[in-house]
Amino acid sequence: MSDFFSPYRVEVFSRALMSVIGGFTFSLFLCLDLSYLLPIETKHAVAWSSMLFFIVFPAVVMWSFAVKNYKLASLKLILITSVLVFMFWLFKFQGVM
Amino acid sequence: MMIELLTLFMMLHGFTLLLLAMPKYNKQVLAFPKKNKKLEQVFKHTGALLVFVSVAISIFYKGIGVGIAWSCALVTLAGTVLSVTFSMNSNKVAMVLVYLPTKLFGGINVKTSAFLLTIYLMITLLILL
Amino acid sequence: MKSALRQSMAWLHTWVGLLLSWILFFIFLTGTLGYFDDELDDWMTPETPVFNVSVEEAMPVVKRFVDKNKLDNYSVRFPVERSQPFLTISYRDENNKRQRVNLNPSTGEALTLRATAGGQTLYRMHYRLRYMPKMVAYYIVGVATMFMFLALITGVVIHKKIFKEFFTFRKGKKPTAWLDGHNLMSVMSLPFHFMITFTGFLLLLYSLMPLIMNAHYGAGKEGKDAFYKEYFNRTSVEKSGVYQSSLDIDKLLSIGQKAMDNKSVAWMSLSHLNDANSQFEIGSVHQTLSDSRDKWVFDANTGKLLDEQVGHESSKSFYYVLRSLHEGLFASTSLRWLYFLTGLFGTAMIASGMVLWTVKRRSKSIKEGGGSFGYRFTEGLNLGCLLGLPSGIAVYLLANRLLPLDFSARAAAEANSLFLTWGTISLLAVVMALLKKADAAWFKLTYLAGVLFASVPVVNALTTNLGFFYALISKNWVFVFVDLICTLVSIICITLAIYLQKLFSKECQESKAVQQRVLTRTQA
Repeated sequence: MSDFFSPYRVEVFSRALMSVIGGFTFSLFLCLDLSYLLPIETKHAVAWSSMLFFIVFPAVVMWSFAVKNYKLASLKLILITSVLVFMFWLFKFQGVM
Repeated sequence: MMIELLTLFMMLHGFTLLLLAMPKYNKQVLAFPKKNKKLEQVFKHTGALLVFVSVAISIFYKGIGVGIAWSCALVTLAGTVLSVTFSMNSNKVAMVLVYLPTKLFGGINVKTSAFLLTIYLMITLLILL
Repeated sequence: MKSALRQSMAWLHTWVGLLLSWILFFIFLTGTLGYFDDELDDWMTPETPVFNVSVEEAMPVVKRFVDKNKLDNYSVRFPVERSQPFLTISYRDENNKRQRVNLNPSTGEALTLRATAGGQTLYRMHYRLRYMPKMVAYYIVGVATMFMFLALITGVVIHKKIFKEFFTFRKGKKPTAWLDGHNLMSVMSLPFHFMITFTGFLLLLYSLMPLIMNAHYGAGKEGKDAFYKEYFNRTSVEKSGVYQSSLDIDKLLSIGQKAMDNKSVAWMSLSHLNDANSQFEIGSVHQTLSDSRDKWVFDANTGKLLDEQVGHESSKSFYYVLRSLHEGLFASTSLRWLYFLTGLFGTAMIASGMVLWTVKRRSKSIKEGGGSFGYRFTEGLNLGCLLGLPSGIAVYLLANRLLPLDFSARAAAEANSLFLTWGTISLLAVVMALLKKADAAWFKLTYLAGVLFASVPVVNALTTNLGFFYALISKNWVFVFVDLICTLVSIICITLAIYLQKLFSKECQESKAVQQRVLTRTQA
């Protein structure tokens, strides 16, 4: 049983999870926040942020596999994403910006 | 059609010159005088110039967007064709540039690139005017 | 986990590449063929000629049709570009149902085309796939595109010395030769592939990432409609019910042409004839990277210019330039061939990656007496995909010629025959690979592909009057080139099959000789 869950496989799986779920969430909220912060017309802000998502997401995926200590890295990712989610909540539901 | 052919050949020859300017590749070519840093420099500059002029002509005749798209497509095609043919027979590929100068001047030297540029200039003016 | 960046990126590159290589191979091959979708449409409707007739010549036919059918809402596409081979009039009939007719622009007779999936279906499969709901297909294609994008970026990171190694190719020694071949085709077409992959995302942008749009414009369909109306400048207007006589269509056309300066007319539309809200719209031929949506909108009663939508601003400019680069609709014939060739290089890059994976593990598997189940299964899938899809495309073309004309579902049947062929060949390949007969599968299936492609020109000559020599004489280049390319592909397949057969029999003899030596040594 422990052979199936070798350290290598656990690490691969964790990094994959981090990159896909963590990466997606981070990229989404980063771009969402940007769409509120950009000082241009809303429709263009939406367009640019949506396009940016497809650059940020691959970058985070690569980072997830390149970084040395993935456990620490995923904690950092969760922390930053939480801040971004909070900012989004401020923008959308509290009318900030 | 003529513009397309002209830009294609300029790109091909420009890349060939750039290729021959690299010592890693020109050592396999018999006709190329070895360890001639000045010659390599001149070839590098001439090659870059031909590529630049090819792109400029595309942009001028087709507009910016289409011109750049066309040049990129040419880079892909010319680069791949050149890489594969050069790896198969580097001497024959180099002959493309080397044949005429060798027959007329007896060898490749710095003046070769000036010769090539002049020919290109003449052909270009003929086609464009 | 490999700590060095390059090693970790190499690992990611191989896995990401392998897992999605089959679907990416499909997307690339159908997309590449899609650059000639209109030409394939023409090939697949051989009884119907294509037309290229000026707007002035076609107008009498338009007016006769409009008057005869008493149309007050219609749009006309003139046969002036490759994507528009007929005079097409779209309108709503008495039951308010959408109708579209293709007319001969000189005589006005209605053209009936044979029911066919055509080049259009082949092209659409490239992003819409088949046999699944739209959004599922979009998500699969989106994920595959993301994997491809990652494969490209990690490929560049692995290759630090990318510019010095630009021209490297070491012939002969496999797997080095396969690796070099893979790298060679990949490196030179790298800028193209970055462009194609990223622009591919943009084409599915608001389907794959609607959340940012939803956050600002509202959820669901209303949000999407609101954003699209504002962003993409929809200019439809309701009928007012108040009578006001509209200008004559010829007058409107000349007003439009004057406003368009030097640009050629591609299409025009009239809505709500003889109504106060009547509008006339006219558009130009698509020639640059940002004019695909250019149009001029007029009040059809007074001839006043209401809106001139030429070019784009800000994000739309970026978006449309990149869309145009991907779709290549602006491209002239020579550029279109370059797109096609580069697309083939991309397909070859993916194919060589799949072969490289197999070849790298091959010698190890031979020593282990055939390799693990996983290796054999993957090899079977790889070779089934590589050979099955091209064979499927050949069968798609053959089906167009061989299915009876009065068979009502022939369009769907053509598409099904592609997948049936691909599925059968893949199944055969996997079974043979699992039975340790992969080598035989490689060259036998390559022969099969060669035979299928060779039969396309033959069947074409037998079932139509546009066989190769006749097409050449009548300068029908579409038919000439389809025959030429099928023949070329066939020659490549058969040459490859002969080469593989020799290679594998040599390997077999060599490994038998080695075994013999080991045996005699142990006996001695």
